Amino acid sequence: MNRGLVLASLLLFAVTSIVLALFTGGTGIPPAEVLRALLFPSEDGVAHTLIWELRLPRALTAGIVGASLAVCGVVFQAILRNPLAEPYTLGVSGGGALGAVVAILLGLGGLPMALLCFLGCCLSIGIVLGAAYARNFTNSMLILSGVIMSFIFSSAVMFIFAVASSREVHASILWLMGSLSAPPEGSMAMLLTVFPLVPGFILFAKDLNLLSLGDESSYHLGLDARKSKTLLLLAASLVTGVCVAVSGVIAFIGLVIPHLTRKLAGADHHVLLPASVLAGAGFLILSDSIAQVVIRPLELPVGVITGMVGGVFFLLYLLKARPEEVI
Amino acid sequence: MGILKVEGVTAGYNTTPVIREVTFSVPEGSVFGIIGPNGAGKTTLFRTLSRLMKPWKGVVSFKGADIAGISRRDYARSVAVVPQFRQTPPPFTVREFVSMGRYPHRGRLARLNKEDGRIVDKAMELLDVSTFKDKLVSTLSGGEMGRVFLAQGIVQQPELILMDEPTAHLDIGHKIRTLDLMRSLAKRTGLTALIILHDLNLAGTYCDSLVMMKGGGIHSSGRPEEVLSEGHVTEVYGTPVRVGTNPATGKPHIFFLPQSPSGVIPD
Repeated sequence: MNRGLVLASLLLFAVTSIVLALFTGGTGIPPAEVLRALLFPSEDGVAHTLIWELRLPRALTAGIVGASLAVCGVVFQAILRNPLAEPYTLGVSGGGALGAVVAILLGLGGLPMALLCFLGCCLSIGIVLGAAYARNFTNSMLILSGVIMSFIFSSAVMFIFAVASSREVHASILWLMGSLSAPPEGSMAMLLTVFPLVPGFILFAKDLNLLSLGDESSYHLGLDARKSKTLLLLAASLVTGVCVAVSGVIAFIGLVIPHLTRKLAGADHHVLLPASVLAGAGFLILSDSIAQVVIRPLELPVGVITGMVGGVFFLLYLLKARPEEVI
Repeated sequence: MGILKVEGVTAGYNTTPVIREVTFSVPEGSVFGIIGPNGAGKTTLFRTLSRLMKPWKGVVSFKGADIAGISRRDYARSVAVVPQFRQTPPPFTVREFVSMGRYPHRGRLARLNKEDGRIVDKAMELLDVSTFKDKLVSTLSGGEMGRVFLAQGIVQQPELILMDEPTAHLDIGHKIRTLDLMRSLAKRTGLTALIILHDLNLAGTYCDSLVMMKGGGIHSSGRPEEVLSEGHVTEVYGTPVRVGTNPATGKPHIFFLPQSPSGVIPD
């Protein structure tokens, strides 16, 4: 398919999902009032507050988190040359989960919890990158040490579950599923601090193209693979860490969106990266809208929707795709 | 004269040396062949020349400079490497893939320009891959893929191209066209080609000089007529041969002698 057309359609998809998000939510507001609140931002009223202070920020958060996870997934898949690679491959989610669960156990919430969670992410990245660095930085070493760290961290989480009260366990499990319903205070600031890295990856589109050919080929074409890999993995993991701190472990976006976007936009990262930003943002905003209304007045964690919708969609794609197209 | 000089190079894996004290010089603008049986150390030599392995002893120099001291990007601008075993690339189109050969010549942020596009189109035509330039590289046959990798190397516009078995999966027509291309590039542009070849007759036909390796060292080297003697080939490959002359080219031609013409393995 024509690349300009792909980007234009994905832009349309992202914009549509934002508009849709403004019109949906836990509280039913008639469309006319939504329009009115949007057109006359200086007026007051319940609808006005809901739109401008809840729905719009929430859609923006979803958009940033979705775009970030999708782009980080693209980066991880290019570098690790593995179809299963995703932003959580280096154990970021495990470290983050441990940090968050410890915070819940300590009765912390909000920003302190987000920071503790982010600290857990950084711990995991540090250990995995350090271990891989000692072993020539091969992809298998990165992937294996990431998997092992995830195991260790989730065992630690299980241990805490075993000794914690059921209320704390419930809160932790909800958090682990990933949700955008109550991002901790300061979330937006945290997201906006690292978000410049996301479009920044486009500056490394050539590096990513070369790395996706394998370390040796990229070396023959003049790239310092180890330096590029370290820099890009570190940046992508930090962005992922902030996403996890803000919204928990939202499943599947970082795995599925890169694959589907690669199918549409091709493997050239000059196109693939911007396409993933749009697709990831649109997909998470849409999933979050669905999560808010499926079992109204209750709300589902958005991770449930991304996992289910994304999973089924992806399975269908895998069944249809030719194996050589997958990565 | 020698664009690439290998002097007393010993290299290997872990603590086992695979090549020992290898010395030769590749004249500029020549087609230079490396031949030898399996396990002779050809690929280890190739990996040393392409800088994936460091020599334990000895020096490899390109245009007088030790290759260990040349920056990655400078080396990629002057030396193209076309390895034999390739990982299947992600779903790039043929044209995108070939274009990546221009990366060493352009900065990180620069998009490829018209000039690059022209070079890419020309190389794709030369290697007969233009007809499927919009197909995904990962969907091609082995021979088609081999030519696409070669096109990427040509697009680098190197002074020296290192190729490990570039004709391995090609049909005879494409084998001949590929090696013809190397010859004519050597003649027209002064490109030097160092090629590992298994097919002794192709090596004899196309190479200006040959190095025949055995057991990690150089068994013999020189012009094809000198290296491809009955005695040498029989000794190095352990199978008796007759050597004649190709009536059209005057180059040596090797005739193989089956050890069991009746189809029965002798006792």
